[in-house]
Amino acid sequence: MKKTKVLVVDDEAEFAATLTERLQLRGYDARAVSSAEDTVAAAKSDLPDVILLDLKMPGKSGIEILMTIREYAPGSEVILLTGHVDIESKIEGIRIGAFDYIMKPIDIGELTAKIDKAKQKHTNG
Amino acid sequence: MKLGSKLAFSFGISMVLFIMLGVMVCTESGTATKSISVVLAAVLGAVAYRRLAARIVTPLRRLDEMAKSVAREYLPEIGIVDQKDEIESLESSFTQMERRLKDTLSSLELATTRLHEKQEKLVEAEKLASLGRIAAGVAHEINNPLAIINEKAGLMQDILRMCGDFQHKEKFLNLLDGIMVSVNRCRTITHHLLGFARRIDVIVEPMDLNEAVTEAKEFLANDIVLKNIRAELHLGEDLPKIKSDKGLLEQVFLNVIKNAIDAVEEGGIVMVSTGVKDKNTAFVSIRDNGPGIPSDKLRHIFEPFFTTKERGKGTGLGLFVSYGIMKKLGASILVESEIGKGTTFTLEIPLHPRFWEGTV
Repeated sequence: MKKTKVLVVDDEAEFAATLTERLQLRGYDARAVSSAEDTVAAAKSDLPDVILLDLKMPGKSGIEILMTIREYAPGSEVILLTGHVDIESKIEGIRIGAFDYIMKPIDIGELTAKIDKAKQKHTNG
Repeated sequence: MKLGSKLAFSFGISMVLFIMLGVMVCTESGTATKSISVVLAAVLGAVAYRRLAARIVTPLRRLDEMAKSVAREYLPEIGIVDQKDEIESLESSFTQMERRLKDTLSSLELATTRLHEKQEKLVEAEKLASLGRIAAGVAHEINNPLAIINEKAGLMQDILRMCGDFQHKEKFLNLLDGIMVSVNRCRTITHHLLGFARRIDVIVEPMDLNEAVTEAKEFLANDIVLKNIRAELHLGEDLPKIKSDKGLLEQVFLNVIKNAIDAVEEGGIVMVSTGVKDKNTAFVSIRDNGPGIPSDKLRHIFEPFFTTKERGKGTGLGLFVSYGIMKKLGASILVESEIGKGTTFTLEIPLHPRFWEGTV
């Protein structure tokens, strides 16, 4: 079975890299990026199944990146990473088309369950 | 009879007596010069007398009119009847004015007290709002490194679990578990603090306040049994259904009732009552017969990280979060405490949603 392709987007490079490694250990084809430009490029070239997107990114807001992703990689499901219950951003994100959200610090079991659900939706179209 | 007329009357009598005396003296002495001097003195005396009367009467009348106008303006229910003379009238006007001034002064004192209380509440709310913003800012900054610690420790656990057995492997795994448990504790704190400042999901639905209170009490049944406490519910029968967020309100009830249970000694009493305060507001009061909270501590009770519990027993966030929730729901939380008698928390909840706009 083809591995689920996950793109981890977070400006905290340490966080993104470590989470990516943990996902790889769990059998995901994960990759980390830490800037808005890299995110758009990776979304276009890799066509990930699921993108984990931090809502707080320097330069561009997570919502702006989400809109770009929707444009370039309409097939990818997005799970928002938030530091808190930021209801406005969450609602806005879901409205623009994010699949779900998860709060940091992350519970890895909860995250993988959400990734699998997003992948399922992605596969079923 | 007016004072002016009285003076004129007295003057007339005096003049008649004076002239009669002059005539008697003149008749006895028989000298015309003497009688002219007496008449002249009488005329001069009359002029001086009139001037003196005018100087006394005119200011008296003016003063009387002023006192009356003060009394008339502020005390319209009192009819001002013209008195017999200016002095009596002035006295009565002054009495009325004094009464009015006393009334004004006491209502002014009352208004000042109320203003002072409102100011204190505003200052308190603003202080908590500032503290909330600071706490949320700190929590946000701490949350990111916390997320990194969480991932690093998690990755170490992942790797260790994949490794074959080696010396101290179990110990390492246990240590990492300890780190994860602490991270989770911190996560609870940061999320609470962030929740205070952020607009969280408020789901308004028709709800039964009595039911929510009963559920919260049942949720704490174990604590009540373990401490052998008498927990009384006095549910208002006339309480209508309200429109609010049941989940959030239950969180507040749990926090406050749990605090009451913690506050009382074994065998103590916790009394929860509900009812209608006025046509727009319901209330829930939670009273305990614990030791009470001294006033210097009571002032800080809603501040973040303030706790009267033993170290490690409370985070000091329960009431802070409850305060934030109540604000979000347009409700309020009040506390009264008496040393040796106990503490009462009163939650005043609008029957219909009245959202509190803005961030704390």
